[in-house]
Amino acid sequence: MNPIVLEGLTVRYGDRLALDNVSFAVPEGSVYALLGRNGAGKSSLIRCLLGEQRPASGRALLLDRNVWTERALALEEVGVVSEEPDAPPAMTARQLSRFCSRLYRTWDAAGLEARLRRFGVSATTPFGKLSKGQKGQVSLALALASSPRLLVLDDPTLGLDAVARKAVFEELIGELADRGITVFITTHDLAGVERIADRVGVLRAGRLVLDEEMETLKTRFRRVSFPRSQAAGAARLEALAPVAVAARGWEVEAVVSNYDEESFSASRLGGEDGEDPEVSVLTLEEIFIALTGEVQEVKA
Amino acid sequence: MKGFLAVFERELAERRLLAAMGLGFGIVAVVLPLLPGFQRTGSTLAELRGGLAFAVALLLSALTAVYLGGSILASDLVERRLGFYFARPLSGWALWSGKIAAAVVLTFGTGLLALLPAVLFGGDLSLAGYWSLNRMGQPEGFFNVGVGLLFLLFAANAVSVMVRSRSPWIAADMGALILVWAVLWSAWYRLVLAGVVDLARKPQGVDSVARAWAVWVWGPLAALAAAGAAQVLLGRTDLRRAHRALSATLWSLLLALGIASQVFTLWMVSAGPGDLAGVTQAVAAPAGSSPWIAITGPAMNRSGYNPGFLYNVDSGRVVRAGFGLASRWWEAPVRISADGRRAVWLEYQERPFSSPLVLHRLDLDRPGARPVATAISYQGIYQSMPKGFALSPDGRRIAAVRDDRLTVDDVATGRLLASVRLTGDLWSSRPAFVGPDHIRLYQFAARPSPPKPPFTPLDYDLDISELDLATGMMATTGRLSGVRGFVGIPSPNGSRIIMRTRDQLQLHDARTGEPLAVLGASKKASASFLSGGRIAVTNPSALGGALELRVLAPDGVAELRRFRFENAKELIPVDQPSPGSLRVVTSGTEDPRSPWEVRLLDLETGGVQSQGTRELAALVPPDDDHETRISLEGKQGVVWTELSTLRKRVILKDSGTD
Repeated sequence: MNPIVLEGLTVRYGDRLALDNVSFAVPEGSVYALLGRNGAGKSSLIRCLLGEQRPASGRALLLDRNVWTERALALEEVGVVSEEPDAPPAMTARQLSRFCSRLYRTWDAAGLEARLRRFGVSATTPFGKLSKGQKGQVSLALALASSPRLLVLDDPTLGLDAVARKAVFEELIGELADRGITVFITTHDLAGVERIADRVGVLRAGRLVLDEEMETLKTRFRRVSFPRSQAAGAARLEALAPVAVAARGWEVEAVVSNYDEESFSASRLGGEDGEDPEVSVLTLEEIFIALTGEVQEVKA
Repeated sequence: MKGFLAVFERELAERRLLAAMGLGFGIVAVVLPLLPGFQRTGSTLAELRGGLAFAVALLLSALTAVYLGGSILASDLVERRLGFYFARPLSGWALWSGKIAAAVVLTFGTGLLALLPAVLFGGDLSLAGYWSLNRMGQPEGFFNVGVGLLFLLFAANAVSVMVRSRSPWIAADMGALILVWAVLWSAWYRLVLAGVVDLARKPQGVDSVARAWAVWVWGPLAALAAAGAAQVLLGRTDLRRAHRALSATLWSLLLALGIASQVFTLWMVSAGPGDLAGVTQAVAAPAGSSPWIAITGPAMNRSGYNPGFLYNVDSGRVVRAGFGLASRWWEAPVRISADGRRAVWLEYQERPFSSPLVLHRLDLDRPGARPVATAISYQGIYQSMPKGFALSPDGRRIAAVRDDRLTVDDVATGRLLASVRLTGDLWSSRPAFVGPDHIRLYQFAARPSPPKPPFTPLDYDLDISELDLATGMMATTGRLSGVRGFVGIPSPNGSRIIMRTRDQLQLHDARTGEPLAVLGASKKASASFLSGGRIAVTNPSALGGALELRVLAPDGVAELRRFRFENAKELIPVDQPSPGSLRVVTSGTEDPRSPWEVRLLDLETGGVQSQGTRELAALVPPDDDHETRISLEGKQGVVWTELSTLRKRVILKDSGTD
């Protein structure tokens, strides 16, 4: 069973289409990173996924339950960290723990306190008086305390400093190593998520333009650089499915999405002028920028 | 349930200071009356403490209701904190009900804690020292306050969400509010105009209007509560979506309530003659000259609604006439002219019992004629209401006694023909036309007498005077003493009148009051005038077991004919198909619903001809429990006791055709 299944999810705000027929599934035990620029539709998708918003069409299933109609049941084994820490400001982490413990079947209050100690966050300080990073850490600790089968993290590192970001991801990695839970995460911290994600989805203007295993993704995406004098060979890039081509001084840089040794040889980009093109591996961030940024065409 | 309890307890814990505040203010309310300035108010210390504590409790509870209503859900929505709950396995119902239940407990708890010190320190919470608030200290008052606080709580939530969403939907809310208010108010006001609202305040039982009030009070409250729930269940964490869900639910429910109210009102005021539980007043044309009768009474299952109808017993035609309300205060305010061609009645112009009474007319001889408001009106408040009025035999003039004047108006034009100041006791007056230009006025005055046991009928003195329209002069023509009640049946030409004294039925000169004859000695005797001035007197046979009808000469002394009806318990003269005959109905039981035997009496020969039996619609006063229903449809005539004369009267459907 896939813990998350989205089927033809469509969300409209008046005439504007925020999500356009988005479908994908998150396999059990995987870490799925949903990426997208601001306004791409991530927040709408998360709201639908958590049953906060009813889609115009389609449906979202959490642990095999329609989350709009069976939200409370669907969330029994789901931990959630929202983009904005939204716990009642007057409550301390300990009070929040006590409140939440009544809602879940299992609750690891001691584990939560231990996790807070690791984060260096006081359990007796009102939530409203914590820093943004600490709030995020409390939220993560609360989300993990119910020993969830699925963790939904909506940009959990937003606004956090590098140390706090690192702590969040280390905690996640630890949890993944210990229990192998499924994680669905949206984030702008691509470097951080790159280390843990198994699968990546990319939203662009409400449409899912990519949904793929991280390994496959990183294998087929490459940066290819060659001198402008070989510009005639740019047409040969087509076989490599370029997603972004840019001129940089005397060179042309292309990000291709269908790289493999065989197709690269067939493109015969190298060899004519005796100078081999440079091929380099891309980071997730570079792939993301290539997929969602503006594509520059090279004029011959 | 665990979700509800978790939210409920969390909200209570977070706002526990409100309870402490209630207690603190309650202590202030107990201590404050000890200050010197409070001693001069004239109330006892206990009354002051009770009154002050009650006022503080009421104010605190109201403020708490508004504060919590406006914040317990709306603030979380505005500050985007509701997502915390929605990210947990917590149903929308549990979230909404937990927060609302906490708000309700805090609202009432704050007030009750403010009352606690007064209770402990001898405060008088009955509010007996505050006459206008007496009912507030009773369970009913507490209940009403509670309903009001709930209304404040839910309304504050709705208003807060609407305003704080800063959505264009607020304009739609304003439009919907106006529309719903107009629909509800028009339904309500129509009942006000029909007198239902003012008359249905019965101390016991649940009547139809009480049910309607429940709908009107609880309906909006339920709509506000449901809208608040929809705001959470459908709108969830987004303020604008929550606003849309709240508004859509609220206004659609209130509109449905408004439509239901309109339907209820239409049903209420659509009661026909067949819906009357009984008839409290009935009026017919003198001498049975018209098949039309006017009836009014309480409508079945419609407490407070007393419709009035003009009913044609021949054709079954019904014309609704609003004299039922005016008839609450005195004898039926409807008259049918002696020629049977016109009916007039008094109807409140707008709100009953406070707006002027307008004279309406209906031309009975014109098929399809509708009631018309005339230009004649009278003050509607009790003291200034017309104390008596009469329609001229041709239906063209109306005479009325009101305030200290006798006025005569032209019905068609509303022109004032005469206005004469009256002297003496005007507690009860009865004008009567003696020809088109003369009005005779009977003024009854309670007679000074030794103290009597309660409920003993009073004796009256009767002053008789006449107004000559040609000269505008009014002159006293006679005086009569020892008249019991208002019974007075004038002869068709107005020369004589039958009056009931303490133990006799007497014939008097209608102009001078001079006694002419004793018609009967029994209290059970009744009499009516026949054509040619003869008098029919009915009374039990001296031998028992029968009723006798005696036909007397116009002088009331000489007996012309005597008829004996064995085993009859009721005998009512109906009409005279010819001058020499008299039709009567008799019944062997006292149940007016059992069949009546119709007999035609030959006044010349003494012969009696049976005309078979009839089933007559019995117009009887309603039972207390309103369990009877009159049915005029398909009946062969009607029989009733006319309250204005206390005579039993009958109109048959084929009256005048035999």
